[in-house]
Amino acid sequence: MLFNSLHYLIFFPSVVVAYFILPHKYRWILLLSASLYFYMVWRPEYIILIIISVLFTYLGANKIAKITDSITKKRLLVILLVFHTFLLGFFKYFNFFNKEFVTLSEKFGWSHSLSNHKLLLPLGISFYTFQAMAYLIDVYRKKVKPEKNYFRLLLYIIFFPQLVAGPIERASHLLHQFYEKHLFDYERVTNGIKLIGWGLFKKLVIADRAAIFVNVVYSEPTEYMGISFVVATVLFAFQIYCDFSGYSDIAIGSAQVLGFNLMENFRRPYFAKSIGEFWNRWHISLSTWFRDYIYIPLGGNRVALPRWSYNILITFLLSGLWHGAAWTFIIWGAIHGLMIVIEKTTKKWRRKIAIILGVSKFPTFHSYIQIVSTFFIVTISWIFFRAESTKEAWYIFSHFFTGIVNYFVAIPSSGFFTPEVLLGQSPQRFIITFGAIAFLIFVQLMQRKGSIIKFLSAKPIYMRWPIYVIILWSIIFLGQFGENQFIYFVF
Amino acid sequence: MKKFFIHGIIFISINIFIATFYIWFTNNQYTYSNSQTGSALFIIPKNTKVDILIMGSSHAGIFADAGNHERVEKILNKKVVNVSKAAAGIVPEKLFLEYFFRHGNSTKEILYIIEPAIFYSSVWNESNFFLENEPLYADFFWLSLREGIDNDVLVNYLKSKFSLFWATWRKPLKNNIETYSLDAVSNEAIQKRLNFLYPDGQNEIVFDKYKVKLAEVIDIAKANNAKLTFIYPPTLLGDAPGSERLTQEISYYEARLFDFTNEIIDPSLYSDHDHLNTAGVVRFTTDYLVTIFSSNSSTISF
Repeated sequence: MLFNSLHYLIFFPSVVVAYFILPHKYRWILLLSASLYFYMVWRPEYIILIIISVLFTYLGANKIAKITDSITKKRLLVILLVFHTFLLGFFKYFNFFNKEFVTLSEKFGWSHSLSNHKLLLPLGISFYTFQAMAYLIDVYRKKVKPEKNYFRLLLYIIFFPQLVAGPIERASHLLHQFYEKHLFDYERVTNGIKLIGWGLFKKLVIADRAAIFVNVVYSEPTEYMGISFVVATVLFAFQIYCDFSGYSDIAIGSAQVLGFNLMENFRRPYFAKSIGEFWNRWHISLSTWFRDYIYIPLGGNRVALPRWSYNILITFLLSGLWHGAAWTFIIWGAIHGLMIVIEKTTKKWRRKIAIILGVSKFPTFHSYIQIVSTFFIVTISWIFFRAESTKEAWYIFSHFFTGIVNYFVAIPSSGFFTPEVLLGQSPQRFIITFGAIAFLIFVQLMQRKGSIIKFLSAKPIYMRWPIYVIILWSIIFLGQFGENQFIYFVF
Repeated sequence: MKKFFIHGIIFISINIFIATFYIWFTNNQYTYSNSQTGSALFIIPKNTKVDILIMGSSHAGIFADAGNHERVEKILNKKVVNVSKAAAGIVPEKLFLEYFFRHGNSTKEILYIIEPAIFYSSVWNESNFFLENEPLYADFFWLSLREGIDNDVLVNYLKSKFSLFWATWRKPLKNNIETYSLDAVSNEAIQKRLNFLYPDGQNEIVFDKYKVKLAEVIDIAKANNAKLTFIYPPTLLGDAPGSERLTQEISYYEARLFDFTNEIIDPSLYSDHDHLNTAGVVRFTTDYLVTIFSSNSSTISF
């Protein structure tokens, strides 16, 4: 079920009403049933995969907790992690690696004829598999006690607000909340609704509008160059941010209405001053997952520089692969890993240059330079994330600035809105899209001082309601209501 | 919880008020003549007697477009209402016909410019866009609901009103006197057009589904004492696939049908291979429609 669908508009209020009517002891059953239904609206048969995955997780975690011998315990954990990796690997990566192996075989004259499977990628498999793996490792590390009730564990994994695209919740943060009694709290419920509204604004008004421009260029990149790539890629940067953070806002807001607290997933990432900081602000639940379960076990930063660089690169290559079974995603991860290594190794030099140039005397200006340059690198890396193939990504990358100077020189005679900029859309559509992005940046600048929702809640009703009404009607009038799928659903 | 419900009700009421005002405003901001809008509801009058009601898809729409409505009225010397809509099959057209009579209107004659293609695909009968350029009238909405119009069409009808497109698009169109003229007939263009008109091929099950609506249109005409005439419009496409089947169906109800498919073959009277241009409309009205509306016979030789 999509958050931006009429179906969810009926489903969610129904669940909320039933949830607060029911006595506390039955509420988790309602949430479990609602979550099963939420998932089964897509493909009912795929729920079996989750049920089996959670069954192994449940049995394994309880067994791990009982075993006293550390070697046996570790072996069991490894078996369970291999099981989950196999599950994810089979559905998500088998075809990719098989295809690569076929290519390699042809090159070396080997005989290899394993055909690809035609199974659909189960919705949210990357998310619920990672959540289950984190739970197992946390039980192994004795950070959480194993859940005794299989169905409650199932609810923790498939809780509908975070089921298909996260946040990837830790058991220590979410599981106990299913035991707590949540009373109807006006502030919490209304703030949750506001967050849902803001998420819908980001998704429908910004992401889905930007997608129209982006799709034109990225579906036929060889027909474009220069300024078209700049427009489409900058818009993609906002599309993917608003699409995914919009989803997270709706997820967190929906959970909040029901009384649950999900972890923050985005913290104004495009205001990061370095790639390292970007990853502290972007998809936080995933980056902390990789930090806790890959990067730190590899040695983290308490090692020599070459080993640390290796740890970073491995972590980001895996992160890239997690996003999709394609070389484009692996390259995207590698770019981010490399940039973090470069950032660290050049830190002293960059500081010296800033002092020599006198930029460090103007910290605000210096910060803006850092923000803009980080945004530039992140945006360039999105080319690889969005392109259909490495060939197309390279074409876009190598033609990114072709003719840019000519475009700007020609503005006085040709005007700003040339066909290369409008990409077949009207100037009005262009202005609305960038206007909405400007509004987003304005709101995020305001958020530097604290939560805008809390800021608004403190204002009298005659001041805040007109703002809510305007945002509501902006969503209705400016939103793209095509029930477009969220980008991260395919990960 | 009480505070939440009170605030919720007030907030929803404010927004319903805004929505109602907006709908009222956009429904009444402009007045339209038949040749100024592609919307059928905007031009359906109330408690009015007219001489002829024209219905159909784009083949009927050309009798209203580009100032043709006034030309046709002048040639026929009759008051005409044209409720046609581009790409509209028998399902939406039946709805407009019913709405016309429910509004206290009457007509002596109904001219349904019909083509077999509309009976062979849901695209022409159940697509979401049918009501997109129609104003939101509560009585029409309920009528559509009662008639069993597809839920997606109705949801889209509501949703389409709250869009920038609807808020900015409804200005009366200027009479576009420019008329295109076809130079020559192209077999490739004909084939392309036929492929477009029959996206699902010729499925008899689909035909049977929509032929029920044909009977209902005939019943509505009878119930309102209006003489119903079907015509196959002139076209350069040749005999339309399924025309024999449709002719058989119309004959079953003993309704008046005239086939003008191959009557006008001069390409210069067409704007494309399937639609007459203004000169073609004038010629056809003068040479054929005048005769049709001055005779009661079901067999007229032209």
